[in-house]
Amino acid sequence: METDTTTPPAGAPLTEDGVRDDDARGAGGGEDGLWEELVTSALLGTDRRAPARLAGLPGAELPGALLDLAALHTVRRRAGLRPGPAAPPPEPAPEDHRRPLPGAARRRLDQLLAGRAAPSPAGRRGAAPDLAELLPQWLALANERGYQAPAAALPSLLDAARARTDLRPQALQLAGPRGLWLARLNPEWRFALRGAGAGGSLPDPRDQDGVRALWEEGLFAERVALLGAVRTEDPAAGLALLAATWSAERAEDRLMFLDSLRTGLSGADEEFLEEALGDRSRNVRATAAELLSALPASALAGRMAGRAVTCVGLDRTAESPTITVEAPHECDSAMQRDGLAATPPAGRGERSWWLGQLVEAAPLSCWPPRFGGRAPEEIVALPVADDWQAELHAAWCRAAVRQRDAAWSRALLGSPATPPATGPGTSSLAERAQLLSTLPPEERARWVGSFIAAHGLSEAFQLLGVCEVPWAEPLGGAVIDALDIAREAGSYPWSFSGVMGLAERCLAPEAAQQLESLTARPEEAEDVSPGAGGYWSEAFQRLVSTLRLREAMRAELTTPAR
Amino acid sequence: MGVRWTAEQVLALAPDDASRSAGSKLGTAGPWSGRGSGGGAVWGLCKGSGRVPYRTVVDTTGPAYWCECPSRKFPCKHALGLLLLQASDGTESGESAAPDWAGRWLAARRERAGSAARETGGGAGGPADPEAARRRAERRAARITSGAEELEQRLADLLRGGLAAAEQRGYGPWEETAARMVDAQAPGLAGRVRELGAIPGSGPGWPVRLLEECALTHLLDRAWLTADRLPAPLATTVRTRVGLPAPVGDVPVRDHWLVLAQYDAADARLTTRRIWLHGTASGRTALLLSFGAAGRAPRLALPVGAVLDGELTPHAGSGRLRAEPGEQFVPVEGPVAPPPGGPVGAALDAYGRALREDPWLDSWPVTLSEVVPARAEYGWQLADADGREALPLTPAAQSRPGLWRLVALSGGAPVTVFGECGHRGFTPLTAWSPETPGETVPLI
Repeated sequence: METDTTTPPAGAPLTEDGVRDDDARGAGGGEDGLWEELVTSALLGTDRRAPARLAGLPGAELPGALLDLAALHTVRRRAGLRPGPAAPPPEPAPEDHRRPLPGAARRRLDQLLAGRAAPSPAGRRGAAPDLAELLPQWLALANERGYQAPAAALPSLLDAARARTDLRPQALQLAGPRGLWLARLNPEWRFALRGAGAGGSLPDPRDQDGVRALWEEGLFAERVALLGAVRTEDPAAGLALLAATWSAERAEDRLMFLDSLRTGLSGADEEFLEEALGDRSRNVRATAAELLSALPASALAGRMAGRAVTCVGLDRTAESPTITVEAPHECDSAMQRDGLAATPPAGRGERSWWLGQLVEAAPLSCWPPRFGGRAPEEIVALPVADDWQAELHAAWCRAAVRQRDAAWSRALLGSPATPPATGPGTSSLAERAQLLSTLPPEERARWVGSFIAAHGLSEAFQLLGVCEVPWAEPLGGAVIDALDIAREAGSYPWSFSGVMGLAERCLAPEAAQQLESLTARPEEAEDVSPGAGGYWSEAFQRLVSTLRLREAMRAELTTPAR
Repeated sequence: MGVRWTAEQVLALAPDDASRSAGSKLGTAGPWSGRGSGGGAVWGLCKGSGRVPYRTVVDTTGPAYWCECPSRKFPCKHALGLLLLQASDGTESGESAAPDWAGRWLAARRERAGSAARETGGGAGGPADPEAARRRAERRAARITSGAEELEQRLADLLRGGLAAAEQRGYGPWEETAARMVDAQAPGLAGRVRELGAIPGSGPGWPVRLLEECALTHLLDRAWLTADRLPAPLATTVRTRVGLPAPVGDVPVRDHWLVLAQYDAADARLTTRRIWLHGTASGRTALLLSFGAAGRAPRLALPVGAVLDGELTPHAGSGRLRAEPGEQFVPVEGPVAPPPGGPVGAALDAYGRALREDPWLDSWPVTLSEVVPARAEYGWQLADADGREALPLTPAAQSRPGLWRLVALSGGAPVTVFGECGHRGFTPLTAWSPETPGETVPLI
């Protein structure tokens, strides 16, 4: 029978008294020899094999005698255990020079991380704050204030980052060098070493030799991170780095690297991008064209403007001035080189597809001269002949977003009071949200506030998502009023759970006072949904307590460290 | 007397992560009304899902809790929330008188505590009829004796037929033997038998472990059957191991006790909570046990890392780690220092010495100082900072999340670790790092 009969389990790190390692084990004689004999005999049965040491005893006494010896051996072995040899210790974790968290913030982090482990049950959410939703804010704030993560909290922090990819950048930043050190020891946290892991060991962007060495020898992810870092620090140096090795890069790598140029894009990049329009890869060409069209002074933008104005013009002979559209009849090779896709997606006409791309890529500055010096608002208000309005306005929206043009965005958004379906520009909320993001933050908050005051909350979710946190007035007030109106109208709060969740995370903590009066449970009226009042009061309670909690979180991270 | 627990200490009282999280959520003013504190107690009304709020009161000198909610967790989330809220109150909110409902419970509880103290103090709280009690004890001893004899017979049969043959018969015969030991009123023997039954399925090397444990069970049987010839302290140990209640000593020890660790082990019948304490003046290490039936959390909960002023009464018998808590524990402010520790070799020495008093000990509480978690071929170990000797972690400790807290806290540098050291290796329970003095990090 094949059985391991050595004393402790295989590879045992504890050794017996006076015996170092395994030099005396299995030597046949002595105590260890006896023990092996006992185990073999016990395994097979004393009826079949009696230990030699007990030879001569009657069979009935053998088991007791064997157990006596075994007990003696066991206690003797346990009492004489010695430590085993030490393995080489791990490399010490790199030092973290950030300051430690204040005590209260430290405890808050533990709470938030524990809250993540035990999420609220689905459905009705009760009156207590949803801690997991506050973790991203807490992490961002702690990073902004330059705190280090407490060492004992690192495992929970890495677990949180593993479960939620949206938390990763902030969680890993807080975890810092010791977090990466720890992640290398546990395969479950390997994710931390990918991409972001390289971030921990990037050379200083100003260290030219280090940058060049990593750029030439690094892994793809390291190189992408490096180019991003250098480009943020010094756009020209980033471009030079990329240009040096450009022709030798693989097509899919070229695409990713080119994308890094979005950061710090300027006229200085034009020459390089213009050359990339002749790239072998179609995706690289398209990206180069897109970047160039975001530079209204570029040659490509000029070419696009020339093409676009021949297609779109003003018919002065009509009763009132009207925009006429003559879509392109062909997409020649010069247009294709400038990034136009010749083949439309299924179900779209070629000519309108080409027109859309032309107008999108043309600098918006080419239109006022074309329309007799009219301002964007006036141009957007002009009637468009032959049902081209939707196509043309949609292309202008895309252009305004691409060129980050606030004046055109404002014009295309129109008045917030106008119902979305009848306004200018676009009725798509996603596109409106993009247009909004080009406006200055206060204007954004004002526009969305007025929109909510006019149309309520049902379509506001995406628009609220692009507003800066915490919500500035009058936006916060408008949201609270709209929630109050919805409550009085008798709907259930979970119809607004998306906005409620956003409000918990984004309302300014000062709003808690205004909300306090809404937490009371109202008398149940007859014409409303049964029980709605109680649920609303609960939802408002949660809102208030979340705001208070956020205020406390912020205060805890503001107090000076111990 | 206004006893204020810190938020950390309160969170450490929670029976599990879910309660910790639920309690944290209630640690805001929102759901509470009628809150107050005074005379060492805190109370309040917490709005839950129902129409009527739950009334919750905590006696912080116990700590002891009472709440109207139906939760089986102990303390429940309402009690935790209430304590957290008190901990976060920036200023002393002033003493007030307890409302009637809270006052009644507090008064009743303190009455009980007072009478318990008088009984312990008087030492004369014996049973009403000593003669009947003596007869009962004799009957039970006789049953245990016949149980021990039966178990001896079964062990002999097992050895004659061979452990390999027994493995093929599976767990059934063990369970049956364990039931016989329960009938014989020897729960200690029953527990050992159940553990024997689990060994054949425990992976490579099981024959060695099974023979060791069979031999120690045999040793216990023989010791019980000849207990009248053993020295008194050893005889007490044998009686306790067999499953008779341990006699509680009559000399309470008052000290400032550092709560080193608290953890639960549950089987289908019982949850056993173990709490390790270290007396900062006496240097004594004490173990409190608290039990909860089938899925209920045990009643006693103490916050790890807190220093509590109170009395413990150690059990009689050899070993003498176990103690019974007094009724009142009052948190003490001030810095927390880990117990004095030594190198890994000294930890094994301590276990070896303890075996002389109680050969059935699986492990012994020790503090290791200046040790570094390191990874060897077989798994993690704690190595002396001089890099010579090391203690392996037990297989169970290798797979617990606490291992990673220990590794993270160390960062490759020496730390102080409290845990249980035994023949299977070391189970780390608590750690302290010189980088963050005063912070007690629970590892389990």
